[in-house]
Amino acid sequence: MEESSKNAGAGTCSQKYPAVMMELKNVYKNYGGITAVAGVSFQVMQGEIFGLLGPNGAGKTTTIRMLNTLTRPTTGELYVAGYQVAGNQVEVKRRIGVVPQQNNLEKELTGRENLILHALLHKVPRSEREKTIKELLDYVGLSSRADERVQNYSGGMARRLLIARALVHHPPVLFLDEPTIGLDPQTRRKIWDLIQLMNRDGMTVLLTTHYIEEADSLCHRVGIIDHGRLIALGTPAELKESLGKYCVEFLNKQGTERCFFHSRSEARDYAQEKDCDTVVRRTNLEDVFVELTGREARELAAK
Amino acid sequence: MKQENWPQSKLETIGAGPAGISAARRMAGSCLDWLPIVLAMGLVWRRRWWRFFIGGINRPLIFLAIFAWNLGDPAATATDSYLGFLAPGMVVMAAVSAGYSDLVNWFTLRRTYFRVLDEYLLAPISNASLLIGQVLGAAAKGFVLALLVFLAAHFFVHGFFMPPLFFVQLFVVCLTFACLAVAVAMVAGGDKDTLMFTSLIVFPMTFFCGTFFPVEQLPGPLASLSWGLPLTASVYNLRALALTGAGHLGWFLQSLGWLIALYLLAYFLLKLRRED
Repeated sequence: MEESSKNAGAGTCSQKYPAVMMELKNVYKNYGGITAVAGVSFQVMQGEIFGLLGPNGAGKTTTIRMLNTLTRPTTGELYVAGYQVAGNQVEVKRRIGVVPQQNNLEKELTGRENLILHALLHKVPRSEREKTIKELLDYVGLSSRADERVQNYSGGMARRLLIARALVHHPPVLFLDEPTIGLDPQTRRKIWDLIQLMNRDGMTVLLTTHYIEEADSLCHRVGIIDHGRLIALGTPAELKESLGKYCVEFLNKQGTERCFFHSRSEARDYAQEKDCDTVVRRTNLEDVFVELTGREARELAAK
Repeated sequence: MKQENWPQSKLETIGAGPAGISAARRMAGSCLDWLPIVLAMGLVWRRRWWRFFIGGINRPLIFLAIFAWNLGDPAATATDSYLGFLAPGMVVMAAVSAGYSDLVNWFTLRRTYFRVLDEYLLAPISNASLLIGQVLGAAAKGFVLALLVFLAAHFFVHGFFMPPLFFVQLFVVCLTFACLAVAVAMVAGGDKDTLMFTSLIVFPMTFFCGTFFPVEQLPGPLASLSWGLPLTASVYNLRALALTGAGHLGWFLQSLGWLIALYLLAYFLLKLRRED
């Protein structure tokens, strides 16, 4: 996606909600002696798709769980849709939809029954329930399989149903924890389309991922998190430009090495000086990630 | 995937949703916040009610049938036969089995393995409503199952009384053990832990609390210990109500005390777990 087309949200709910839809202020989370999140602060604006990018165990899921009320921070303040999470959990929960990393659908129920279950838990009025569920099943392309038990669904179908379930009570904020993990490329693209479509209709989205391409394609802004710390924050374009727009990549005895330049001519000149095979290309988000974390994202994703 | 048909209703209401419901309406509905949990449990249960009934009714009915075939006197009445003594114990056993075992497994598996519990924890209701909903749902199932056992007992022996307090006492037993189930599930690390607790504590309790024989027949310290368990007073009161039609206020209050204590324990542990 071109950066220019990624304008943050249509903002249909601008009257109802603050410009800053989510905010973390110096948030820490300790589990015994382990610090999962260490002083994270950032804001997510209304109508934005914000991505938290980082390797497994970096603290992404803990951050999202603190925002969605499932985990309490050790210290720090969190705000969602104008409410401080501490002390306003019920109000926050009314305004958020959560798509978890793990398929936590009731597997013995059908797809439709799972949505009814969610509607009951969120007290969606009976008059709205049936219509909303029908619309959502259409929307995620599961109408024809709605009355099959979820245990017969493929991974992609279950993921789409999880998204539909999170939308049943019309939340203005959506959390997606690793929304495409383990899905084939076609299904992944469909999920991306869904996320963009929801965002186009005004929904603020916070997603975690360790797929760099996903963050690059979908997100208006990206926060890179590692060892519980937010180590970079900005639009994908800003993050890439912070290194240099162009990258020269070559293989030496130490492995693949990359050098970054602000202009193509500088990169080309440098490449010509090298007495080995070189590649000159545009800097991508993976370069930023690797430079900042010092590790290859592919290795981390495979863990 | 039909991407063009993003629900139009959402374009108009996005962000309003249930949050748009007036504060007055929310306050009016807050006392019934547990109801969606019960309805949701009912929806899940609807799929596997026959497995639940068969699993729950199996053991008490086998005990009743075995004793009836070996000791049974077709002319015996409830007040003058061992079967009459045994039947209320079997009713309690069914109530405990259904109220406790089903919920403890439900909670533990959904919390630790399937993570379905998160779906319930994300519902916009308080900890108390969540707990009340779960406990009422499980207790209602236990109550229905225990009543089935009680009705089945009429095939083996006749002459039972059924005063209203009998049903109240039975429901208190179901609620008590549903609270215990939540408390255990909140501290258990997995299904192995709950199995161990059930085998070491709950299963012996169903035998040593006056279900099969009076606790007075236990060796001295064990008899005293038995009266310190949550089931004994309930079994005695239920038996008194079924055999004579009259209950014992002390026993009833004791069982009510256990219910309150275990509810508070379950609430405290649920809150602690959610704050973790």
